[in-house]
Amino acid sequence: MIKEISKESVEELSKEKGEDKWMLNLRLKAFENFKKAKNPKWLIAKPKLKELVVFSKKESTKTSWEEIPKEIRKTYEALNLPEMERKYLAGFGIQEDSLVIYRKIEKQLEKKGIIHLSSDEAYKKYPELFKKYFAHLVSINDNKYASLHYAFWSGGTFLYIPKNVKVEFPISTYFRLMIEGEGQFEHTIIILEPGAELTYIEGCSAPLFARSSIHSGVVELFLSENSHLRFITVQNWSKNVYNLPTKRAILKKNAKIEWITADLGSKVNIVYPMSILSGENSSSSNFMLTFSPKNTKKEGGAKVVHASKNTTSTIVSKSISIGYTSFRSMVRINPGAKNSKARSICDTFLVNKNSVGKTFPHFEILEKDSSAAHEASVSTLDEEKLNYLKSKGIDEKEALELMVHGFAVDILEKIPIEYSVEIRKILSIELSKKVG
Amino acid sequence: MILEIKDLWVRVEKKNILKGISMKFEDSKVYGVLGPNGSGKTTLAKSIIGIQKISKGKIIFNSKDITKLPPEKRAKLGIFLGFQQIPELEISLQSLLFAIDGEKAEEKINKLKTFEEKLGIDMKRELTGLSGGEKKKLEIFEFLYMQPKFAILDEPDSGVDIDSFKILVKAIEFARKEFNPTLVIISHYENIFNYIEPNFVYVLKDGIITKSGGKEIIESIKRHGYE
Repeated sequence: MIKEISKESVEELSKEKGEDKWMLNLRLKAFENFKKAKNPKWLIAKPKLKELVVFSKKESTKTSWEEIPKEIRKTYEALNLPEMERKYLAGFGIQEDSLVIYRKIEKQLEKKGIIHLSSDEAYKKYPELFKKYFAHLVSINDNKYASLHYAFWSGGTFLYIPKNVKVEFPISTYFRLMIEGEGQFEHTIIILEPGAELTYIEGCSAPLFARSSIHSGVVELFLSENSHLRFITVQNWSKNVYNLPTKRAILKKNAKIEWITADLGSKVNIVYPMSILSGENSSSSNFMLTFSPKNTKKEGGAKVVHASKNTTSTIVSKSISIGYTSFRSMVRINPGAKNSKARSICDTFLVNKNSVGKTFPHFEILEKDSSAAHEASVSTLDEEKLNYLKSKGIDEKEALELMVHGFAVDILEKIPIEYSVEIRKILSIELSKKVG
Repeated sequence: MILEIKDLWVRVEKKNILKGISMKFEDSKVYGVLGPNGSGKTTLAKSIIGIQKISKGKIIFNSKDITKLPPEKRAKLGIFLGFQQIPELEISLQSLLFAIDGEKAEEKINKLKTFEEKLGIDMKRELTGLSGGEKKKLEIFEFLYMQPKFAILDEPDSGVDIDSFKILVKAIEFARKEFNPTLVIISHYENIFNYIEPNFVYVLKDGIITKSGGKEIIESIKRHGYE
């Protein structure tokens, strides 16, 4: 176990992993950046960084459930993950703390040339390929917490989908934080060759500890011509986790990305998945559900850069606030990105009288021949609505659930039912706490 | 007797809206409640379902004092209010009915297919931006769906075109045949009572019952107004 955010820790981690010089240098440089960088303005609450566990060693990555120690397996069986994998997924991986402990993909997909590894493994096994993509979209000085990530990155999923391979069932990775006061810094890289199609699902959870933890993953997605990626995140960290990931995708001609995000857990959550529409006719959609239970702060949003002709982007944000939610977006249409269209819709449901919901949309339109639109709305369960529902036989708890689920349905419909059922349950439990 | 109101007073913003109203309703009979605008008719309806705070009085339903019962429990006992005004709701009728009955809702909806069509109900549409007429039809559909023992329909005929009016009358006739509720129709038009004949009529004015009796009262109102 490596504790404390320090230069020595970075060196120890790199040595432990048996890395080349370039990676060690990159880590050290990132660490310098982290130390120098100020907390970003958007950081709505600062995580505690003292005595953070930055790396914890586990056994090697296993490729069958039988090899995983019974005690650990139990946790995942309780979460119903092995069954989910059998029934619904083409590939599955688990990262516990710093390392991937399990990964498996259907044999027939391996035969088609798909590479499905932990990023640590990919770094060793395919050094050239790895180096070509690693830190190319999210630079080591992108923001303070991305720098922290690069100093201590460990684990994450590396996925390479060859030309024209359409993966029918989703591939998923599940993240767990099992140690008190730790940092998880996984690095995810997904490469889609021309015409490839994939649905990727990130899930996560953690037991609740007294001391807070940080999750600061980096996601880099590379979409070639005509490829299509659905990137789904179901974030359900426990309420002591600061979730500060940086996620980015770059798209070539005719490529299409859908970011679908349900942010349910964590104490503080700040995430803005970003799409760079570099190829003509490429498109980005961003559907997000942000939920802030009591005493939590959530900032969701999106960034889009329209850098080519005929590109389109859609952002649909639905925030349900008991505590604090904010929406922040940055949409930029570059000069020359003719006939590009950007649209964002941002709806907030305020559960309590003192719930907070803020929106900060930002547009930079540098091309005349383009269009951008933003809509925002706020809903509540006011007395008139509540009275109406009560008079039809629905009590306050049920009424709140009904209204919230109705509000969230546009996003929930985009999430595979195997996951959305779980999300509905989580929402109901938190809302009943509010009324109860 | 299914429902009785005893000396009901409602005070809103320092003004007495209802001033000591007493009414009796018998099983499976039709009642007309008439009165000019602002006479307290809707306040009376809301008091019976329990979403209007009352300052004094008692409401007895099936020999039980329900004065302190919350609205959702009154609804479960079989009291229904078809609203005159409904709020904008970002949910579909389908999810509303499923919230009430769970899986059973499906079967109950299927039995009302004819009326679903006739009333032009879209089960999946969000209940926002509905026209006045659509709102009335929605309330009538809910009335048929819930099969209450005691139903108040608050101005079901206002803002409704002639074709919709006919369907509405059919729906009420159907309800009387199928589950035969006590029906309290609030209106300030008399026309609806030409189609659905009341057994008894109450006239409400300035928060008090000024007249009660048989349907001949309606004739008198037609001629002389609410004098």
